[in-house]
Amino acid sequence: MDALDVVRIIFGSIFVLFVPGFAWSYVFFNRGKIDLVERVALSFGLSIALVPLVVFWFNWVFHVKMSLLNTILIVLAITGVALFWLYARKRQWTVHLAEKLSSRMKFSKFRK
Amino acid sequence: MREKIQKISKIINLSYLPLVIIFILLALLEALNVISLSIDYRIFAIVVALFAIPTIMVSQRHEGGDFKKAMPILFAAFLFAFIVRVIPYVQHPVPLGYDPGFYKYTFDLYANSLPQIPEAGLASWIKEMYPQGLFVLFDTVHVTAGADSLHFMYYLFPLIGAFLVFPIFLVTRNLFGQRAGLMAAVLYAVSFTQFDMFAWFYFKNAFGLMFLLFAIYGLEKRKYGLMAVMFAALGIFHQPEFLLFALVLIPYFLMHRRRGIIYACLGAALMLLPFLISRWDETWSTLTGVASTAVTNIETGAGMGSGTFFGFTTYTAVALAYIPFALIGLFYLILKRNWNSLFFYFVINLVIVVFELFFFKRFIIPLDIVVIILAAVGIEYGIMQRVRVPKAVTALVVILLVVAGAIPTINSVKDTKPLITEGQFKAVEWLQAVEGDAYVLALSHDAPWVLGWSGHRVIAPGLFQWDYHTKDEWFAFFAANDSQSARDFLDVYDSPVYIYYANNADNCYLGFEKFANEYFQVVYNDEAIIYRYERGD
Repeated sequence: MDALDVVRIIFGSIFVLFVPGFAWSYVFFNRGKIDLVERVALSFGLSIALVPLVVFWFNWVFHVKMSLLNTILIVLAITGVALFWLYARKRQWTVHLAEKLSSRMKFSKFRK
Repeated sequence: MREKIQKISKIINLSYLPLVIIFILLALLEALNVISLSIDYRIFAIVVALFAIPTIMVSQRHEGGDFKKAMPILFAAFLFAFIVRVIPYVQHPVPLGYDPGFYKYTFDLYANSLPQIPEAGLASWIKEMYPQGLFVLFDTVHVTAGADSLHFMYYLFPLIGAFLVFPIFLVTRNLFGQRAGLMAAVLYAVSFTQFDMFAWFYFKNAFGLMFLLFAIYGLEKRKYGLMAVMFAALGIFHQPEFLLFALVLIPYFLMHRRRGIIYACLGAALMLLPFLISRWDETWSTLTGVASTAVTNIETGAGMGSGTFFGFTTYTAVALAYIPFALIGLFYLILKRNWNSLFFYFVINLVIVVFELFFFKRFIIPLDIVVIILAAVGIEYGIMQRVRVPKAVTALVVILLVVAGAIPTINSVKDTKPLITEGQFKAVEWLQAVEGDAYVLALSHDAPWVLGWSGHRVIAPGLFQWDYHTKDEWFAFFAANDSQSARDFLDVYDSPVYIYYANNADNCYLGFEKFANEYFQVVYNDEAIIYRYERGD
């Protein structure tokens, strides 16, 4: 195995096993709400959970083949959705949406 | 009367710490094989825990101070957990446990099927043994990073095993404060049970534990989106722990009635939909199998479907050092009426293991995780928060406890060996050079290795899709001494058959007499013997 392969394994693994979860960790916990160890651990956990879920969904529903380009695009899409969510939250879009949804779906017997 | 009770309470309170020290010293001496008293240590553990009740009744949650000071301990625990998992691989190039061959074969099968996910063409034993999650993750890393199955098995598995230090720390810190979190992380790092899980190569289990802990973390933090993702991931990585978490959610929901839990479960079900639909038959047969095993075990006490791992009695011996503290932690939860998910997790998991319902030996692995967390709670509220105890004594108790817990693990690290020798492994690899369409016949002990590393279709009793024989036919084949019976048995295969025998079984029940003739040639003879047979037309 040459140096280029090692570099590819390291950066490719970080891209798949860390980056999407890192973006999603900000969806669940705003900046400053959790410490660095919590954020890093969650990033790995979320990436390992989300990537196979989404990849399999794409393959099953849209018959997307697992080529290098498609896989990279899917990982970018997972990350992109989190970033869009964060952008929308910053613009308060998600707050309005959540309010609308919760007013329609009332479970009066249960607490939040 | 009241005075008498107060006196008794005072005596109990005064006796508690000396009892703890005596117990830990005895556990340490027992672990070192220096002194082994003929007393039941489990009863002693219960007595210690009962004596802690006056102490834990007055204790309060302690956040545990500066996080920066905690970091070195946390990373030391991670490093220790990683090193003990790497040492066996430095000593032996052959992977540990019985399962590596199954994993390697399935990883390679997924990699060779790219760019498709080979869902439709998978053999039924793969669908029953392995949910899709780990292999789809492998495919993604393989395509993107170029990592192969051995990278996954040799590097990712020890890393995930060590990485579990962090989720266990986060869950415990979230519920019981930082000091308890650190204690849980350290106890996890030295746990014999968790090391043994690694030594058996229970790859999926490690992921399952990670998702289980993160799901509990999401549930207790009321981050239901996070919980839903982790719950769904449990379903596609490790179904026993998925079932455990689902069972935990029932009493937890009834107790807390939060609607977020319903949304999270619906979300998880939606995410799991394609995985379940594509393997509906296997999922249904697994569920009915679990239910019928549980019913049979309750009715007859037969202890069927236990899974390969040590039993509950062995568990109480290897986790002896921290068991009384886990009981103290449990008493703390009950006395404080703290009905959190860990309480239900402990009760449900203990019921499965003690009443031997289903897969009960393998459920010792998640049980150990919750026992570790409760032990950390017990140490925090039963020792560290005890007033008028010098810090040096507290530190000594904690250090002795960790050492007593670590000794069985360190001994095991030294003694852990692969199930086959290097020479036998070389013989398996030698088979890669033979005809591409050949079959290899192996006994069930060696079959996973031959499947993973020979690159051929493997004929083994009761295993894999290439076994066309009944149990009786196999017994007749083993018992036969004449070449004709052996040839009749092998003639159902239209390609050359290599017979691999590594002398691992206690008795050589294969019988070599039937191969000592012109139809079978010895093509390899070292630490394993390999015969070649080709059907004559």
